[in-house]
Amino acid sequence: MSVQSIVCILAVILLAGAAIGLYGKGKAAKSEDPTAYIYTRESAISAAAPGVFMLIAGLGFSIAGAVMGIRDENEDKPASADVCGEGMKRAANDYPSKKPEDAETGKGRMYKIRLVVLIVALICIIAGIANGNMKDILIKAINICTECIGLG
Amino acid sequence: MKDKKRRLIQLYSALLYNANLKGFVSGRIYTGNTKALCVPGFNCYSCPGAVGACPLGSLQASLAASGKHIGFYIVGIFLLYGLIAGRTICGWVCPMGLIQEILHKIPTYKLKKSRVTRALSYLKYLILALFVFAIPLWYGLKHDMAVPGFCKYICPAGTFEGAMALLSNKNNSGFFGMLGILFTRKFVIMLIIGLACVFCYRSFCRFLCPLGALYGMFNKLALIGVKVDMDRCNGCGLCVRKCKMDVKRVGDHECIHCGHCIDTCAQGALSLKAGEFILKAPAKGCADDTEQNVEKRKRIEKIAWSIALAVLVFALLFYNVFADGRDKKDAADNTPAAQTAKSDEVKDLPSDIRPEENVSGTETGGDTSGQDPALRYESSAEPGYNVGERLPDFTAECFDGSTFTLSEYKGKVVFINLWATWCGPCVAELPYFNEFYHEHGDDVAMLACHSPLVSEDVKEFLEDKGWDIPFTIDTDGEGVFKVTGGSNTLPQTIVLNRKGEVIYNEIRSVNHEMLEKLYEQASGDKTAVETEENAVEEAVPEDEAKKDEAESEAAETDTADEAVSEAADADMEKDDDIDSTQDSDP
Repeated sequence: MSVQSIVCILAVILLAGAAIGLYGKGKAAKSEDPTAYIYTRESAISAAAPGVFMLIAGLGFSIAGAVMGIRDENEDKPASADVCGEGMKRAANDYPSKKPEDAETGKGRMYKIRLVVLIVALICIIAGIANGNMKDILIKAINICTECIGLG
Repeated sequence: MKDKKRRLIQLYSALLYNANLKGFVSGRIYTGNTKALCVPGFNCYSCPGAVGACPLGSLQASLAASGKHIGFYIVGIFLLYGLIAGRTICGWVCPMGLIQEILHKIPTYKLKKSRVTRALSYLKYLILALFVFAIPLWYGLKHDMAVPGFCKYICPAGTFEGAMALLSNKNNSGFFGMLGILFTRKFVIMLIIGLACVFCYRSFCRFLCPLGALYGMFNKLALIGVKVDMDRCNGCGLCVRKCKMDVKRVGDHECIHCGHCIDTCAQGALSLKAGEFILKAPAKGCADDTEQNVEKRKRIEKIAWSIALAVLVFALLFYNVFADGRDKKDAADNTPAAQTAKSDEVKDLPSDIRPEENVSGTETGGDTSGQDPALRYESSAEPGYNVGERLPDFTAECFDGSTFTLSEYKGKVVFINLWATWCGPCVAELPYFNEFYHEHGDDVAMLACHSPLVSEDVKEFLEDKGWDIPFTIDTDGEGVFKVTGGSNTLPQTIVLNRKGEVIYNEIRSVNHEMLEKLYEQASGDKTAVETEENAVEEAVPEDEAKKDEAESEAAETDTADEAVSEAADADMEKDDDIDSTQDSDP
């Protein structure tokens, strides 16, 4: 377990360090030549290699662990009752307190609300298609949003 | 229904959302009309495989454009998905959820939920308010700019599915030019979130995901979800304690209805239902369940799986074999063969954008004496839009009523910018172009061409901004965009030297410094031509001087010869004054 944890943390540190290091170098180059690239394919591959190696090592450990049936002991343990106490109390108090007739009334009201929401949703969708909102979304989706994905 | 079925449904939905598998090979995103439909889960629409839109990205885009169109469509979509499934979407059909659960499978120490994690779970509401609503609205209404705050500053799905998937493709090597602080920051954020998911179950989902926060608001209303049989529940709270999410009770805003609690409940009080229809029953069966219902459910399940499989096969075939022409063209444009074929292709362009014939027919650097000075800027480079090629001539009608004809700007440095009103970085960089145009207007020609995809009145947009560089629009994508190699990735800047040759053509944001640098590079040719001209001009007086010198020397020689002959005559005659004859010898 500890080996896996260390491998994961190391991989992230190496990859993050590589990215920050490349950015630092690239920025220095860019200050001299504004058209220079901060990252290049080659520099990115060489800088990321140790981190990727660590990731692959981690994957290997995981597969080995799965084959050998190694599992974290605390994975399936429930959270402490102390932490969940408030929620448990509320659950215990709330559920049985509801009378069957209240539940039926609640169900009926819920159906009505759902129906209203469904009608509103359909009207909104039709209105959105008519007013061009759907086209806005299409335009945004069929073009690579460089800003959205962090390219720049 | 065991957890394996949930995993299968998660995989199925991830594959269905990203059915455009050929996009991963070509490095191009799908551009068909199905992209107008929002998928319910978190899936970046800039992922090469994505065939639908991300609901959160669409919400931000709609908010940014709310000054023009009210986002009715996206509101309707959220209401519909929320009403049908709520956060069941997070638990069953969200690819980001699947990735997080896979990461959590790595056998390391696992952090349990606590009061701290429960407090952190409210962070996503803050992110929803600030990054999803406030930032896009502020920039959209105040600055007419589309700035998707969450996508731009946080979204790990965009970095992983979009940026990493695109950058890992060799065809997109040009995208590396765009990378800077934004990528570095988002890459590190993605790594941190990924690491957190290894140690802490669905960290992103629980603490950061605004989509989950939105769907969570519908959890009580949702048709599909885990329901509690109040007659059986004894309030032991084991369901809450065993749940890895920060729930306080089953079905609250943090519950993703994964159904894990159904197996843990010793009372058999929990079941996953769609309305009254049971989707997952407890081991001891539901109170209102009969054997007949169980049989019926099994039959329906089989039919549902058959339909789902048929839909997946159809989707894979449709998107990978019968996809629309626009996408096929985009993918094909990227291949090296297509790049080579560009030169041939421009010959078939319509007359208004056809490259002119090489008027002079002379090689660069040849004898230019006696030619029109303009012809000295003629290029013999191959027509095309790649660096080193000569951009074919084209004519574009500008919004101000003028006409931009490329061939008229021989001898000037030409900047062409491809942009769109819905592209935040494009709108952000246009002031630099405007400023630069004012500084170098006499020596520079500039054209900003809007994408064929229009979401608002571009002319009106420009009037508000007050920029006065020549603006045009490529209405069908067959004009400036085709000539310059424009694509569905913006902004793109093309710089031509004085001969009309492309010295820069990149999808990348530029600033004033870069424009100056590019201008310097493009002006290099002018310097060369001017040097040639000066050399010719300087050669004339030099030659004349040399001629004069030669003539005077010749004259001197003649005089000397005369003197020699005279001296010789004198020697012959008088045989004296030899020294004077030697002195005058040239």
